[in-house]
Parts: sequence; structure tokens; C-alpha cells
Amino acid sequence: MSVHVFGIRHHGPGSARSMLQGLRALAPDIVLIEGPPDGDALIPFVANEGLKPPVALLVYNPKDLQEAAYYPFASFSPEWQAMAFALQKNLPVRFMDLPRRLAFTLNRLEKDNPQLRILPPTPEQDESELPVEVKARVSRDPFGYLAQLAGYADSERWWEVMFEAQQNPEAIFPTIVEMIDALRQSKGSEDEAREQQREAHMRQVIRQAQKEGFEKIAVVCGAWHSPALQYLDRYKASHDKAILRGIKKTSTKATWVPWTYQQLSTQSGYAAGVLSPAWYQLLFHRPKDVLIRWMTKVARLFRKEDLDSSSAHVIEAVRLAETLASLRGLRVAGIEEMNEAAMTIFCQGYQEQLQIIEQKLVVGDVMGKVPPEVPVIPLQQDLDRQIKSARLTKYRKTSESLWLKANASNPRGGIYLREEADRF
Amino acid sequence: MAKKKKTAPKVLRPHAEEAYAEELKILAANDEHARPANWRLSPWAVVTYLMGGKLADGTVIEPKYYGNRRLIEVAVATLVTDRALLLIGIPGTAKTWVAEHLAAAIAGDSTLLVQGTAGMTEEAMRYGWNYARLLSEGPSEAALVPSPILTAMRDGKIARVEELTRVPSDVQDTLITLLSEKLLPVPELGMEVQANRGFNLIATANDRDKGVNDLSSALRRRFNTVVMPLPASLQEEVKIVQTRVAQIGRALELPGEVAPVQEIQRLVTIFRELRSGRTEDGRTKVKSPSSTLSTAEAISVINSGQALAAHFGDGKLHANDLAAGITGAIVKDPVQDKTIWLEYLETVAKERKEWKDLYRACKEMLD
Repeated sequence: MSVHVFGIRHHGPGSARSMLQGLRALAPDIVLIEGPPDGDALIPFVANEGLKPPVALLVYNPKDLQEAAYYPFASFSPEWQAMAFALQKNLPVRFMDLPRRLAFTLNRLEKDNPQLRILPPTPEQDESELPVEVKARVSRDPFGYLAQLAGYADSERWWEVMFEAQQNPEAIFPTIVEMIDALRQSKGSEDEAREQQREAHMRQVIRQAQKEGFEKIAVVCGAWHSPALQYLDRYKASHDKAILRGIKKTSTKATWVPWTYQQLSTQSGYAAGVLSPAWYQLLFHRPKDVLIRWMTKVARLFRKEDLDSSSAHVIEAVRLAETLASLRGLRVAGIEEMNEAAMTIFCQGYQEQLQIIEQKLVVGDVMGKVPPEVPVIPLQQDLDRQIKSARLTKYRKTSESLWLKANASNPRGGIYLREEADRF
Repeated sequence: MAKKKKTAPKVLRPHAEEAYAEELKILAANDEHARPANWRLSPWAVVTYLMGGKLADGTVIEPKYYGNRRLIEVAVATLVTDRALLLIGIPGTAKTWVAEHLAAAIAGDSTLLVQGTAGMTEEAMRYGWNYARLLSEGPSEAALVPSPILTAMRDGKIARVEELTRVPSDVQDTLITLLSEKLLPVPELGMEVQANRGFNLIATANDRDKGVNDLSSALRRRFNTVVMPLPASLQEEVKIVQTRVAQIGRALELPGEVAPVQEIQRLVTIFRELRSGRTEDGRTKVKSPSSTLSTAEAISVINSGQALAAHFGDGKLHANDLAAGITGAIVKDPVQDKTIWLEYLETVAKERKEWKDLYRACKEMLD
């Protein structure tokens, strides 16, 4: 009976690829994923063709809609790929994080009694520990921190260089557990009560799976938690039970909602670089010739904006990006090198021209879709009905520029508030 | 080992490769990275030479350029990929300075320079003729007078073209074939000169001048463009001015004390506020004069102030030593700029308590 922990980077395409490789080699009989168990019943929808990422799992308290939590997934998110893998192989798959029905209660208690929250120790206690703000970022994105230390601003490219060219793929995730273990010990003791509770619950789910007789348990979680889940013997079952005892349950409901790359990038909170969903999508789905595909995309976006860009520009930009990377001692060019090369070649050195397409290029104008079979919250149902009756369904995209465009019946385009007709 | 006392150079301004010969030698000795063909240093060493740094054996390399390191990396990476480099920016943003030092570091020779002027002809870019020889012997290679660009092509060195936008368009276009095919045909002799490895071209251009001939898009495409920005923050600009003033003061052997930091800070603040159109705290709007108040201007104002103080004053730089320089730098158009400067003095300079001496000195200048 063995537990295999895959410590991944949330929304990291490199992690997703390495994890899939590991899962295929392991052939587990159950997959446990870091996510809210309130949404267990919704996992089977991942195999549904109509559920197209980016989407988010929405867990909410039907009695108080203010209490809600979103768990976003993109097609390159390791958790999403893990769910798809498990469903394809007909394996049982469960979420194992602290359920929202307990977390909502704890949030309410903390709001009413602030002293319940264990505060981090004061900074002058130990100089060897990292400063407070860095600690928070490191726990959310330990790979970003390590990549920065190695000189890579783009942590996905660092992952590629470190892990994907490996001769020995089975060694990747055990190595990660050890690395993060060392990082955790240097960070200082776990001082966040909520983190302890989450990890305690995750261990409980693993132990439950062990009791049910599963032989090879695959655990997919954020890398930061991996040592707490791999080294189960360090924590007593009774201790975990004690931490989670006596928390009242709040009733919760869960559903899938569409999400956008824009929301994904602004909420990332990563240590190294902004999460650029379009870039990660390319890294995951088309890993060969990444630079060439990216620069071609830049050229096409510029052509749409009526700015001249030829294939010669693309060739030169790719060469410059590669040279920049080798000048900086990096094995592969990251998003920074590519932006600088694009700015130098396509935009004649001027930052402002690149900003025209930067949003579409780096973040991407993509919104997910949810099939009608998914149970929908009443507010959403009402909105859908209103949109349908006002015949605005075709405007259901993320870019507002479509709505303001002029057409034959409305040559000015958009809304002009001085006109009576536009003010209904 | 006792150091020999260095005799003061007779030349007013030595070439970069002579002034920094020591540093270049040490860099070359400690350089273990790969070097492109015909380069004296590796690209990494060139960036270290320009941006400054500490080497493995403890030698400290002085920074030549204060600014964004990534910009210099893009410039060096361009030259590695044998694309030509175009440095663009407003006057006074170190374009020529960077070009000179890049050529010195890469090829060890920054003298292969073509100065672009409005009346330039093709001969300056390609080749000229020794007419006496031409008439007596007829066309031959010995009668050819190569331009710096041709010399650079033959020797595999870096050629520099200054003020590319001042050059007439037909002469600019001779560069197109040169840069794309790296060869210069000599139809009179029925031969061509092909560039040797290590040849590249660095051009500089202003984007603010009158009488500017914009580059044709074909020519533009042959270059990788790097825009040289103005210093981003007040501290950066003050540091640049301080360092350069000290360097020039040493080179010209100006007597007197080193310029105090407060004077430099006040001057740089005035220039930045007039340039950007608002005060540093962002509260008051200020009109911008027609002059380009670049960092280079600030350096020259401080230098002339120091010379004034040393020879006609008490050796210490005061506000009245600077007043003439400041007024000269700001008021280029006698009507418009004078009004703007007066308004600035009354609304901003008068309000600042520590600026009373500067205010009085500048007011006196204008009366």
C-alpha cells in the first residue's frame, strides 16, 4: 500500500505534463486531488464535451450567498488533467482539501473573534527565517521562489529546464517533496492555523483511502503541502482528528461556472512573473517550436491591428529571443525575453505599440463554456432567461468591443445617451 | 610595486578603448565565456563592461551606463546575431556614449565612425577616390579611399554611423544592400568587398530634430531598434550627473571642490519638472520650454558652474555660479522660454524655502 504525492504548481503546464507522465507510469487505483470535497459530485462533468475550460468550481452557502468560493481550472491546470485522466481510466477520484462546509464556519468564527487566528511570529525572532511578505508568497508559489533564485523570471521555463529534460522521470516528484521539505523547514514552523487544518483533513482522506484497501494512491496537491502528505508518519491520526473536532457544518451547494483567462491572470498571486494563460496554454498543448508559434501569433495580432509584420520579422524575433536567453545564461527563452524581442523587432523599440496587443497576446481573450446539464444557481438561471428574451445571447463574449461596433442598422455603433431610444 | 605617476594625457578626450584599456585587458583575461568570431570579449563581458560589476578576482569594473541592464543586453544580443543596431532617443540620452563603448569593447576600436550630416554624399559611406592616382594610373584598388564602413567590413570590426536621420535619403539607402547582403559592390573596378565575420553597424538617431529624414521602412527593417530612455527616477539622474561631473572634472583638471550634492539635486529637480510638465509631487502643473533638458545638459551646467566658481569665485559651487548656466540651458527661445522660466521661478522656486538663493540668483539673471 503506497502513497505517491505529486507536488504541482497550480496552473503550471510543466507540472501538468510531468504529472501525467508520472500517473501513466504509476497506474494508480485512486486519485486524490486538492480541492473542495463539496464538489465531488461535479467531477464526472469533466469528461463531458460541453464543459470547456477555463471554468471554475463554485461552492456556496445557499442560505447566505455572500459565502462563496471559486476554484478555477484551465486546460493546462494539473488538477484538471488529473481529473480527466482518472475519469478516462475509470478510477475513483475525490477532492481532499478542507471542505467549504467547515471552512465557511471557521471564517465566520474568525470574523467574530479575531484572536482565534494564530498570528505569524514577530519578525525579530529569527534572522534566518524569510521576511513575512516573502513567506506568504513562497507558500503560495514555492517554485516561483526557487526559479527566481536560479535567475529565471519565468518559472515555467525553469521547470522545463530542471525537470523535463530528465533521464529519470520517476525521480522528479520525490525530489520535489524533499526540496519543499527543506524550504518549509527554513521558512519556520507552520504558524497558520488554517493551513494546519487543511493539511490535517487531507491526511485524513488519504488514511481513509488506505483503510478502504486501495493499493496505489496518487495524491495531486500544491507542492507546498507535499511534505505534509508524503511523510504521514510524522503526524498522528489522533492529532489531526483533534484539530478538526467540533467545527459545525454549514450547508453548501456546488456548480461549474465559466471563467476567463483574464480572471485567472489577475488572481494568481504568484511569486515569479505574472501568470500568462495564453503562454501556458501554448507551452502545454504545443511544446515543440514554442518560440516560433508565439512570434507568429504576435505577427498575426499586429496584422489585425493594421501594423506591418512580415515573416522576416518573425524569424529575426525568434533569433533575438534565443540569443538573449543564452546571453543571460538561460537554457530556454522565457516570456520576458520574448516580450523584449517582440518590442525591439516589431515595435521599433517603443513599448506603447506592444501594449496594444499585449493583453490579447499574453493573457488571451478566452472564456470557458458550461453545458446545460450542470445544475445552475437560481441567479444564473434568471440571468440566462433575461439574456435570451432580450436576444443578446450572441454578445456573450469577453471582449466588449464587439458590442460598440457600428453596423448597418446602427451606423454610429454603441449607445448614445442623448438619444431617447437608447435610454429605455 | 610603486605605481608610476601617470602623465596627464595631451589629448582632450581619449578614445574609450584607450581611456579604459586596463579594464578591457582585465576583462579579456578573466573571460571564460564563448566569444563570437573576431570579438575581443564575450557578450557577457561586454555587458559587464558597460553596466559595471565585480569580477571573480575582485576587480571592480566601473559602470559606463546607468540605466536598465536589460536594454544593454538587447543591444549586445542584436550585435551577436549580426543584425545592425539602431539607438534612438532624444538628445542627451547617452546614445553616442553607448555606441562608442560597445565598439570599444567588442572590436577594440571605436574610431570607425561616419558622422551623418545634411550635406553628406555617398562617398562618405562607401568609398572615395584618390584623384591624383586615379588620373595617373587609371582605376585600381590602390586608388580607392575606403570609408570607415568599408574598413570595418574588411577588418571585421564595428562601424558607427552618427545621426542617421540627418543623412539625405538617397545616401541612407546605400546602407540597405550593405546590411542585408553584407557586401559592397565596387562597379568601377568590377569587384565587390564582402564583410568579414565580426562586422556590424551601430547607428544613432534623434527623434526630435528639425530637418529629419525618416528612415525608409526597408532600411528600418534592417535594424533592431533600441530606444534609450531618460533616467527613470530623480536619484538615478542625480547619480549620473554626480559621477560624470567628477569624471570630467578629473580629466580637465578643474580646480576647486567637488560639486555639493544639494546643488546637483536642485538642478536635476528643476530639469525634471520642466521636462515632465509637473512638479515632483505631482500637484502643480508646469509649462515645458522648447529646450531639451537632458542629463547631458545638466552635466555641462554643473561643469561650467564649477569652472566659474574655481576661477572667479571662492572655489565652492554656489547658486549664483549655476544661475547663468541654468538660464542658458532653459531659455533657448528668447520670448516663449523666458516667460515659462519666469513663471516657474515665481510659482515653484519661490515657494521652496531652501531655494531662496537660487531664486534670487536666477531672477537677477533675467533682469
